[in-house]
Amino acid sequence: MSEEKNKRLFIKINRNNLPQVKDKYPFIYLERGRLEIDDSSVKWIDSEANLVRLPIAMLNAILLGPGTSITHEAVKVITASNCMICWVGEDSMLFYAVGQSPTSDTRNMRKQMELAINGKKRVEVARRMFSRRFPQENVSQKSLKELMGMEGLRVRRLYESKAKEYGVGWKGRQYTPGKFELGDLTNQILTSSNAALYGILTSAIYSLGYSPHVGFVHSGSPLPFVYDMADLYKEDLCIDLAFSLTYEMGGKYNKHRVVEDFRKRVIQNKLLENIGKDITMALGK
Amino acid sequence: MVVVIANNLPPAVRGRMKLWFVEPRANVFVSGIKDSVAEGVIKYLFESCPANSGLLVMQRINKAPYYKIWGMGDPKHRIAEIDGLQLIFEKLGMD
Repeated sequence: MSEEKNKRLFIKINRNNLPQVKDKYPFIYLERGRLEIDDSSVKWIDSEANLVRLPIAMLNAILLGPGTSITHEAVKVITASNCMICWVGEDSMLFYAVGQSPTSDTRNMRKQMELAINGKKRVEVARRMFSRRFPQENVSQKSLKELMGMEGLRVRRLYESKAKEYGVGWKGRQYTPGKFELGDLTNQILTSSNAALYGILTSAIYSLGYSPHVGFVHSGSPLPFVYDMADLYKEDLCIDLAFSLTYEMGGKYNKHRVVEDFRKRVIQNKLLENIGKDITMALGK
Repeated sequence: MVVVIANNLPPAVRGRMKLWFVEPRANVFVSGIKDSVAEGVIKYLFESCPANSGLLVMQRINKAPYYKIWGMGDPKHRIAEIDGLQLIFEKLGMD
């Protein structure tokens, strides 16, 4: 009896009892409060002392805004549950914490590396990514440089057509690191929704067992594979959102509104459901 | 799938519930009805129950986070919503 009494109920976290990326909730944004562990679960206490338990294994990422503190044990449990923690600054820059994900092995990462270091195969992957964005064009003979030129032109045209569609003034993409407030409203929304998209994608890419550091189109940046994948989704998730919100917000930046509308689009577009399939499509069977 | 937990249901409603639900314990109901039917049944429940029924309804839905919670009357724990994710306030600090 006494032995029975002393036995602690403890569920070990392993790949069998964690949900797949496609079945998770994309992200939640928390600010001004504290994350800690109590009874083996993660609890959030906000600045008004309300207490909420978070089903961490069901979340793809937590974005921690200003004024949050987190305990050592909480980071350990959250990352072991395959949930990414991103610290989000006032300027929407992100800092990541990544745990050793128990759901992934190195098979996918090995495949990604093999494709990335072989020049010919790398371009093939890049072409497959671009064929999604240019379904009418034949990209099979284009070099990486030509493809990137096409993409630059496409995005510039996209900005202009969205500006026209929503009747919003547009003077081009500007982003100065650390000087978030200097950009116009559309640029501010673009910067913060892009940052949130990178956070979600980084988390999903890690969870699927790939590396965000090995890219095919982008290179020389910290998270090239994340930027490669983000380009597939930016049009609707970030660019259209930025112009439609600029129109609706009437000149005043509201980060909660941006986060909320961005999350709605992520769920609507089934981002987490598609990313696994899209990576497989890009890397080839 | 829909799960209904109540403190106290009027007998007529409780009887009618068993058209769709099994009642494994008193005032706990489980059913595998689909979304389109569930909407109607939940609407019926909320229309027919008095405020002191302490009604808690949980439904499976087909987009993230794949569940939805409704509460009515005498809720011990308030339903919180953080970024569209329904959670439960275990303790309220201010009131």
